[in-house]
Amino acid sequence: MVESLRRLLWLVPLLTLGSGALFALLSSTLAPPPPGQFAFFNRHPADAEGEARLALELLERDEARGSARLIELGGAGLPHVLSRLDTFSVKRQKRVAHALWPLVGRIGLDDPTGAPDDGVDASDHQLIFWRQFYEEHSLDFRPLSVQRLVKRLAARDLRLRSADLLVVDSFALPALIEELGRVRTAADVERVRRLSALIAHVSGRSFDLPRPASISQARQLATDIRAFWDRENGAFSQLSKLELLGARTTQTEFSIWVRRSWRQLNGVDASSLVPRLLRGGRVSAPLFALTLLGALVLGPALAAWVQVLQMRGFGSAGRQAPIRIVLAFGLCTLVPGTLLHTSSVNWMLGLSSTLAGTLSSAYLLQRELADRIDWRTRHVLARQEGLGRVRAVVRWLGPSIPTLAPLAAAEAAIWVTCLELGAHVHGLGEETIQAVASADLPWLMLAGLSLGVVTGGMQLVCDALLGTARLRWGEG
Amino acid sequence: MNGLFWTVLSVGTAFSVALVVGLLLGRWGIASNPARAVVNLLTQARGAILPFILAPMLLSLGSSDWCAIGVAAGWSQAVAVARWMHRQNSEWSPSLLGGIALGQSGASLAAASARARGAVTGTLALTVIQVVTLEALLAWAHDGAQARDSLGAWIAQGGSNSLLGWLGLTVLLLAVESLASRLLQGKSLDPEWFRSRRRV
Repeated sequence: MVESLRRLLWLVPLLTLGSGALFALLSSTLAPPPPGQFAFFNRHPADAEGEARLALELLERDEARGSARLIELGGAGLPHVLSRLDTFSVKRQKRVAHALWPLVGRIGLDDPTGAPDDGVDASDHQLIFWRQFYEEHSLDFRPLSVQRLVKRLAARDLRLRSADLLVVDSFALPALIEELGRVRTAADVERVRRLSALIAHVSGRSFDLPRPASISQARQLATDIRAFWDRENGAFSQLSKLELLGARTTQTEFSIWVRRSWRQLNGVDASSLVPRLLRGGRVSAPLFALTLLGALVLGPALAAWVQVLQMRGFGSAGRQAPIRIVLAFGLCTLVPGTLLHTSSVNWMLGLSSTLAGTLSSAYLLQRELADRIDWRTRHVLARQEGLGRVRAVVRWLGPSIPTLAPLAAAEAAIWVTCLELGAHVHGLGEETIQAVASADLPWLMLAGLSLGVVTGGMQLVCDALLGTARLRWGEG
Repeated sequence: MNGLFWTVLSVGTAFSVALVVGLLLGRWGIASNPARAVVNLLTQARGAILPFILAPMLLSLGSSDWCAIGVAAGWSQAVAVARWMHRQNSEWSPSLLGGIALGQSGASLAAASARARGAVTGTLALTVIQVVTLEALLAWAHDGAQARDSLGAWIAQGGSNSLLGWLGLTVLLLAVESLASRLLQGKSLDPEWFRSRRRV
């Protein structure tokens, strides 16, 4: 009991470590991270200040690319760029002001200085504009005030608040994304509509919600926005030194997978995995259950029957039993698979999966029994009555079943996949094979972890049963 | 015949991996509790990383087809062998207990314990089916286009090729079954059985 409890408690850290190890394996082989992304450790995490500095350096070398990057950063980079203007030479100040000029339209401000007067150079005019802008709005670039504005916008449709948020541009993105929240009611749909319009405007992405929109459409849009944010948040976030240190592990593919999985588990994000899981599970779950039924119930029964037959004097039949069973196993599992290649019949699929489980475990257990029941035992048992003989065989066979069970789970998954592919039936196995081919990391993680947990759970229960059986049967 | 050759190569690799790694893991598992915990962990890992996921992983690392299939199937069987070997409720035969009392080495003890267990032999004998199934799965997954010539691929193709595949499979099954029996389970290896037969 204590042993079982200890192992049960170990399952949580084990699952954490296991998911990390599985992710490492998959990301280093089948699904490598996209270029510029890191699996577990990001040596150069991004933040708005660093990105603004890099954009300014780029502007010196390549004006077009530097300008494009500054515009892309938008409001998130403005405080860092404008606060450093005075430290630059006048020529460089003008270049920066010119590079930022396209932002004026995006932040929704009329040019407060008006059209340039005669005799005033356009670059001087742009520089004056940005200086005045920073003097007037520097206080707006504060996370707390932006969060307050976003909360008000999320609660009510206030055009004024929306205009205030436009001024800070992408500086408001973290608060806007956070405020998207869960989408369960019509009010949530409207909130997503208001926030997504602003997010689309400041990020330059297309996040459109049709009118009218259903709850699922709004949830999907919120999910898409958060998926965009998972990858891009670094460049638009104002991070402290400590947060930047933490970002070395949070701005990674593994962290993104953990966050998305957590949101999907909590029902915050729409999950594409759950519908696939349910659709495939309708086909695969009965087949999996039938295979396990065959492996853990029918197979042992067949093995016991063969053994009892052997004791009743069918010596040669008993000796040949393993060969016959293994041949039947090979043919009965692969032959139906190929027959199903041309015609998919549900009952045949069921029969094939049951046979696969039954014959594989019958073969194993019959060999085990033949080996464990030595000549003395066989001699003694042969003299017993029929029922006593059966009971004795079952007692010998019993402890092997819990040992077999966790192994049978993986075998069952293989057989079910084999049958599904042979019969062209769309189940979880086929889905997993497709995921391997298309490097679908989330699905592979889900499949691997689910089957690992099922195996671990069965192992735990079976080992506990083995302990009980040992005490009861006095074998300890 | 080319297909049979590649399958035999995969089966040989799988059998070797299952035999060597399985016995080593099993022997280690018998030796200590932490080792048993590791075998438990590997059993869960076996469930999490199925051979048809492991084989493409190995292929992406540049391994050849037959090697990837052999190692994937062999690894799966090795963990199964280790679990069968170190299970808690095993009873020791008098000859094994005698061997332990005489101070035989740990390795010979492990080999003897493996020999005395039909399930271990059975698991190893089933390696051929694991390999052929894996070949068929990969052939189905690639729609036969990228699948190499093998028994599993023949079976997956259907038609007359399947017949050849089944024939090859039958031959291989019999060969591996008898090999596993002779190598690992043969009663001829147990002197006590011989003595008892003479008395009876």
